[in-house]
Amino acid sequence: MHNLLSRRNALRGAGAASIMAAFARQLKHAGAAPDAGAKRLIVFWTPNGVVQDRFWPTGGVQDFTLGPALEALKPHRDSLTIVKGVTYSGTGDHKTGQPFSTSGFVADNAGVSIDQEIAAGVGQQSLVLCGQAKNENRRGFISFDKSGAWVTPIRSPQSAYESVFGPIGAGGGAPPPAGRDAELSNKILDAAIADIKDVEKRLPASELVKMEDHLAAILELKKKVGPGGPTTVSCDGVDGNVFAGEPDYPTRVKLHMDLIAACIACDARRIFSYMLAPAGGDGTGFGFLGVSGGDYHNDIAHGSPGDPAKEDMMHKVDLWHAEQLAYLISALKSIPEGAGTAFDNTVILWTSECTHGNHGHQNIPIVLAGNAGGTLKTGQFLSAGVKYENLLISLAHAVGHPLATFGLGGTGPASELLV
Amino acid sequence: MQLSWNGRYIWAGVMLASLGCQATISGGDDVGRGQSDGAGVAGSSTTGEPGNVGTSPLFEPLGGPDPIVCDPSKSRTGGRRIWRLTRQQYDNSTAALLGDSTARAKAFNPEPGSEQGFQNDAFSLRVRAAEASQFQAAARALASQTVAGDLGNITACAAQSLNDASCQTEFVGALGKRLFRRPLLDAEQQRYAELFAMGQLKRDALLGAEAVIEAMLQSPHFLYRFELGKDPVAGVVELTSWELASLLSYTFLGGPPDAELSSLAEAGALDVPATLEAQARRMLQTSAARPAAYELYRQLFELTQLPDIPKDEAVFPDFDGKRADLASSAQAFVQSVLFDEAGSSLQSLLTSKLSFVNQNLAPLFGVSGAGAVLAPVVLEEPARAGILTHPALMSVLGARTRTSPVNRGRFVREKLLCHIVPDPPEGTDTQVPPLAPALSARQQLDAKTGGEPCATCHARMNPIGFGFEKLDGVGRYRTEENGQAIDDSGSLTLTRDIDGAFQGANELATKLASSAQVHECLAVQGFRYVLGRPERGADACSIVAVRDRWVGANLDLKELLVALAGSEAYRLRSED
Repeated sequence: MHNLLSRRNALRGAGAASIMAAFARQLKHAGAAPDAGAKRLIVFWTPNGVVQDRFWPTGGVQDFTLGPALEALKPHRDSLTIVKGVTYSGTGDHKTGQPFSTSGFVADNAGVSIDQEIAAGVGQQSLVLCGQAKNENRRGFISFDKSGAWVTPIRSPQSAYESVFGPIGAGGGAPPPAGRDAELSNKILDAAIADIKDVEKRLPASELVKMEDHLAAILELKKKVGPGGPTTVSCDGVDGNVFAGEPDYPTRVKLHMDLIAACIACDARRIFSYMLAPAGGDGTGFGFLGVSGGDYHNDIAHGSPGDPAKEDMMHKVDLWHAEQLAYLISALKSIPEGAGTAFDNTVILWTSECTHGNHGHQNIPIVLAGNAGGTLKTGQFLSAGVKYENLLISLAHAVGHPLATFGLGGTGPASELLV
Repeated sequence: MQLSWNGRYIWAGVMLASLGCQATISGGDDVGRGQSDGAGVAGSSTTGEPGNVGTSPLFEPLGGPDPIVCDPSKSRTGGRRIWRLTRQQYDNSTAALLGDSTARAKAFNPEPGSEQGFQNDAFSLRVRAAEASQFQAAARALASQTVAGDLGNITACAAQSLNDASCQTEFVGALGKRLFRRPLLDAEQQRYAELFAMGQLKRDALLGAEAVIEAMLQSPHFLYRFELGKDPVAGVVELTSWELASLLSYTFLGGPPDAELSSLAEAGALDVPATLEAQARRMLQTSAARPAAYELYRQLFELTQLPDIPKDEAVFPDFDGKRADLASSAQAFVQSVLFDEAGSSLQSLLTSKLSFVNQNLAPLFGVSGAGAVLAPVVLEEPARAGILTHPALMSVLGARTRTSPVNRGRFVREKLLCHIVPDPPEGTDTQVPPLAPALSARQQLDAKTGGEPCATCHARMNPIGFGFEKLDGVGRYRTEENGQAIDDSGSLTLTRDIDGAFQGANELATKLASSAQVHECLAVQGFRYVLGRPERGADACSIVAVRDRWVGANLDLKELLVALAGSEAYRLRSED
């Protein structure tokens, strides 16, 4: 009986963070430790806003008390900056808020998203995940590449794992044939690279981005070509079997966060875009939280402002989202790095596309967690005044990509955020 | 130019909502708008500038109330490009070229698709880390599987003499021609021969063959279709015969070129419009054309959502058990109109009383005595009319527990009349409360959306959607709701030629089938799908030519595809 089952059972019974800690302790860096200056950004995105009056802290900038929705984040209070008063441009709906939340533009495909901008700026690839997939009406996308094209998120934990670490055992593909070694594996990818370079010479400028993306992806595969076989990345302690299969929604979310932790522990990725679920009515249900209705947004969130029963149910979902963020923070805090932990070099942006279940673009729920190597102030509650695009610029500065402008109106980093 | 684009987008997406619906719904008033100044430009991006990015910047919607007008001085074709295979095309390709039947690409990352709802959008189909690792895993499995079979299928000598140098050369050339859908260039032949040799050195010739198969399946020459063309003349290139062979085969067969197309390409004989059309007609007679042509309608009619659209089990029992059969029934109907009926007419697609029903679907169609297999049945209910009232479409356009006149009206506006319907303005509560006693859905929706800011736009959607009210949220016929007789009278407004009252879905469908605006819109939709991109103002002449030919061919839906294949937009590209 391998790891997967025992671990699932454990997750049901025990405190998630302690399990994650045990998991993370098994992780060891494959080769050299990450560069001393390696910083991480995780965009942690939840849909449909929050129950406003249970979300925000009370008190002053330093002496604040977390709102009831953030109960799970209390142990991490001093690692947080909670930003109230952020207003998005756009028409106050899902459709314009969603692209604005990551790109600072009110339309899809209008500009690059912050994860992709930073990833390109620091020479990394962004790992783009979602808890639920929804492509039909464009609500499943929050990551845009530099040409504004959607970056399709990966839903299956197994696919996501394999995109970073290579096939799980022999199950992800054929077993390597006899005689197959790293040299031959490399030569196979080199043929694709040579073909890509041939194609680049013939393309009009507008099409080059396709081959640039493709080349970057193949170079990523080349990193996984190890001496023992064609496609394994060596990262001790990461058991790919844990990520196999088609788990239910809450289990899948945990696995996504475990994968983010594994990527950070092995320094396989530094930039992440994680949408827990798309906005609007997509049929996502929270029955596992005792929240009725098969379609959370339409049945519950949408009607929640002013309806105490629905607000109570939406609050349960808000609490659960905060628990997920707390789980992720704990996971990163359990990965040793330098004199501290991986969390010390990370910043997480929790954001959404709307104010509350019935839309709106004022007081967007924003929580920053982590100080990215001491570059961001934490332990503060800002009640007004940060321009959202400038907040995104500040994050770029914090992780080593000093952007000048961003989105529709970004003019520079926000002094309230940067140390 | 960048600003003007951005301004247009905001105009379409944001200002319209606050200024009301009038401006949006007009559409089509400015065919020459932005005439191609932004053609094919994207290039490097500078942060903070919206620039020529995304699927939408070059989207200048055509069609709508005013007829599209061709101004030849503003006409320009689309840019040269490469076009990644969709998952379905990948599976069809590996099936045809390597005999694989596992449909492994179904599990790959889904296509993002275009704003206009088509999944084969050439701009957004990319290969990034996730896709590359999926293609890699598939290539490994396919290579291993292929060398375990008979390599003589690729080239005869490979069955016996793969150790001979001459056979190895032949194998690389034959495999390359198959997977790249054109003969290899010398440099490519040499590149893959070296790879073969390394495999042979490591173990044996079979490992060489396996490595070459795996590499070619990850090459851009396999994963993309090329539309780069010959040498330019006055800024325009003609696609090569090999490029046209692929374009035609993926349009009409959903897969790689067949033997006849390949031999025409070999002879360089495809770059003539008449030949393109003759080949299109030939392929439309093949069995592969049936699913390939259906794909346009599956995506246009939003049936891609059928597997996932949420339905309340208590209201619509066992809907999950009917999804697959509903999809098959819709497909059978569309294919029978296109391929089995004389005339293949739009009229029939929109108004036929024929349905394909089995035992499982019988309760939705309200028939009895259906067998296990889908079989044609003529339905006499007054509310039935072709694809528009098919339970698959009614389900996709319905809400979880009931109908959605708004969504049904939105569908007709967007997909058949080529209007743009903006989102509700800021802060709108779009929830319709549970049905109050003694109120019909119609009365309730009227009460909800009768005042501003809702009424301006909803006056353009609800009265169309009400015409479908005798079909419930999964397309079952009914005559009353909440104890009241259902009123399915409706009206059309702001159209070119079919404004006015109608009674029920059947009359609505008949009016739509007769409308020049609908005919033109379907030419636009066909263009979007067949070219894999949204239209621009500069496409007006191509679309007008297609529209006029199609109308002249009595709206034969096969002839719409043939006219598209014969258009300049199909075989010409601008140089930059």
